[in-house]
Amino acid sequence: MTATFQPLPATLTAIETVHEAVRVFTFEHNQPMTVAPGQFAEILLPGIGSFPVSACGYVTAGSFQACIKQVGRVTTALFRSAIGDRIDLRGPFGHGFPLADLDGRDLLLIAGGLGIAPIRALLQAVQGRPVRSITLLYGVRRADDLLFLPELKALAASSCLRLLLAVEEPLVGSLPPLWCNGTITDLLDELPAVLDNTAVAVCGPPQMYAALLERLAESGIAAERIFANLERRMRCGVGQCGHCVAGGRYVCTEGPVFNLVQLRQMPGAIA
Amino acid sequence: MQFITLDKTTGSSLWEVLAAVCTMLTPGLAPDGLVRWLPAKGWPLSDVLLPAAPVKAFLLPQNEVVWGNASDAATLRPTALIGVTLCDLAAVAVLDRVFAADSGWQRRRHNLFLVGMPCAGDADCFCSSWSKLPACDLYVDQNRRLWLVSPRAIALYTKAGFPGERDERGPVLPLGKQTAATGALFEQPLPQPEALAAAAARCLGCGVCTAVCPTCQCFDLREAIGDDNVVQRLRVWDSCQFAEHGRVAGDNFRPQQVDRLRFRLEHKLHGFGPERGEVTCVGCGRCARACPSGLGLHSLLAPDAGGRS
Repeated sequence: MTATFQPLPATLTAIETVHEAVRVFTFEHNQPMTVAPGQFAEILLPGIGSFPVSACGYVTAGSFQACIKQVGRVTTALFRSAIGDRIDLRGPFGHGFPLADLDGRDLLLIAGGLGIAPIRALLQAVQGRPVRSITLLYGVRRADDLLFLPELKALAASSCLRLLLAVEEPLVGSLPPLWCNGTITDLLDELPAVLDNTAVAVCGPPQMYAALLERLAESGIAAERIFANLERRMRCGVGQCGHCVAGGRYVCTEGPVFNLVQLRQMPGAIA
Repeated sequence: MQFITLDKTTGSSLWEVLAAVCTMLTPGLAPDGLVRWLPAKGWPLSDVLLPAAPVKAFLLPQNEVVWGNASDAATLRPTALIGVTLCDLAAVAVLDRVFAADSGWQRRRHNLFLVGMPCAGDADCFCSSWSKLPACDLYVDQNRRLWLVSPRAIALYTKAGFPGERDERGPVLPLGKQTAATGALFEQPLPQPEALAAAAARCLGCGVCTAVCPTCQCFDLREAIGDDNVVQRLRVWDSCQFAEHGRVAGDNFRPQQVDRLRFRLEHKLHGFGPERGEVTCVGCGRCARACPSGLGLHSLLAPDAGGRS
C-alpha cells in the first residue's frame, strides 16, 4: 500500500448542466481538503479510471466543484453517475494562482474554452480580496460554448467585473455589447494603454499561450505577473510518474500555474 | 571508513552474518542466457556481471497494487544483492530522491541490502570515473576489503564481533569507462535536430530502453479488479517512448517519436524536477545492449566515439 495513492471517499452531491456536453459536479467529503484556484485534484471512479481536473469554484473545505466535459470513457462514466454516488478524490495537487500577489493589482483574467473553469474559481476567490479592478477576456469557438454566462453577466452588471467576449464563429446579425468576432488576442486592443499595475491569470488551450503571453509582456505587463495554468496529462500528482514534465519541470508539483519568467526557461512548455 | 579484510578465515563467517538475516542474490548467467540475480553461496571471486534488469526492478515492481488491498511486503525477508555495480548503485541513489516520499519504495528499500563491487565493464558501458562511492551498505573493493558503509551494516557486523579496521581514505574505486577517446559524454549538447530526426526514424518506439534503464521511473496508474472483486489501483511501468505518454484530452504534447526521443535525452542529461541540472544517466549501457535499432544513449550523444550504432 502506498499512502500517496490513498483516495479520499467523496459523495456526488450536485450536478448542473451548463452546456450540452459540460456539467458542473459538486463532491462532498469529510476531510479538510480544499482545492485552491489553479490547483487540481484527481477524480477516481472505482474500477473504471481517473482523470485530473482543476477546481471551477472557490468553495469551503469539505467540498470540491469541477466543470467537466464529456470526452472519453471515464468522463462518460461520471456523466452516468447520480447524486449520492460514491466518487473518490485525490489531492489537492500543485500550486494554484498566487492570490496574495494579486492584491492591489488590476487583475486581467483570460480564459479560452474550458479554461474558464479555473478562472471562474479565481474570480470567485478574489471577490473578497483587495484587487483594484477585474477584467475578464473570455474566448470560445462558438457562442453556444460560452459557459457560466448568466453569472458572468450578473457580475458585470454589478460593476464587479469588466467582461469582454470573443467568439470565433461569425455571429448572425448585430453583435451584442461586450462581444467581438475573433479570438482572445483581438480583445487585447480593448485594454487600457497603461498596464504597469496589471497582473494576469490565463487558462486555455495550449495553442493560445504561445501567441498571447509574450504579447501581454510586450504591452507592458511584468513577466513575473503573467500567470498561466498549464494543462498536462497529470497522473500521479506527486512528481514521480513523468507524464506531465515540460521543460524539465514537473507540472503537477512545480505548477500547474507558472509565471512567464519561469515559462521562458521551460522550452516546449507552451506550444 | 571501516573495513574487514575478506580472507579464507573470515570470508565465510562474514557471509554467514549477512545470510542469517537476508536472502542472498548475486548476478549470474541464467539458463536463458541472460545475466540475472541468482541465489548466491559466497562472495564473488571475480569482477561482477551487469544483470540485464536494473536494481529498480526490486524497488519499483513492474506491476504494483498501490491501493485496494493490504500488502504483505512488510513481512518479507530482506534481500541482499551481492555485487551491485557502481553504476547501479548510483542509479538507486537517483531514484531514492525521486521516491523519497513514496512509502512503497521506502519499505522495499529498507528490505534491500546493497553490496557494491567494481566491475570490468564491457563494450557498451560508459560510466564516468568514480570520485566517490555511491550509497550502499557494503562494498567489496579490488583489494578484497569489505567496507562497512551504512550505519546498519556497521551495526550488523559490530554486533556479530567484526568491528573492522579504519582507513579514512575509503575504498579504491575503479576508473570509469569515459576516456579521452570518448570525451565527456554527459557534457555533450543534445544532438542537432537533423541527427535526432534521423535517429527517431530508426526508433521503433518499443520502450525497451526505458524498461532496462536503471533511472527511468515513468509509470502509469490503472484501475483493475483484483481477487474477490476488490477494486485496485495499479502502478505499472510506462515509457516516455510510447505515443500515449504525452497525450492529454484532445492533444499530445510529444506527438512525434523525435519529440519523445528528445524527452528521454533531456531526462538523462539534464534531469527532471528536483534532479534538474543533474545527469541521471549512469552509463550502464543497457540501452545500447537492448535497443533493436542500435540507439543506445552513447551512440546518440557521440555517434563517432565507438559503441554500437
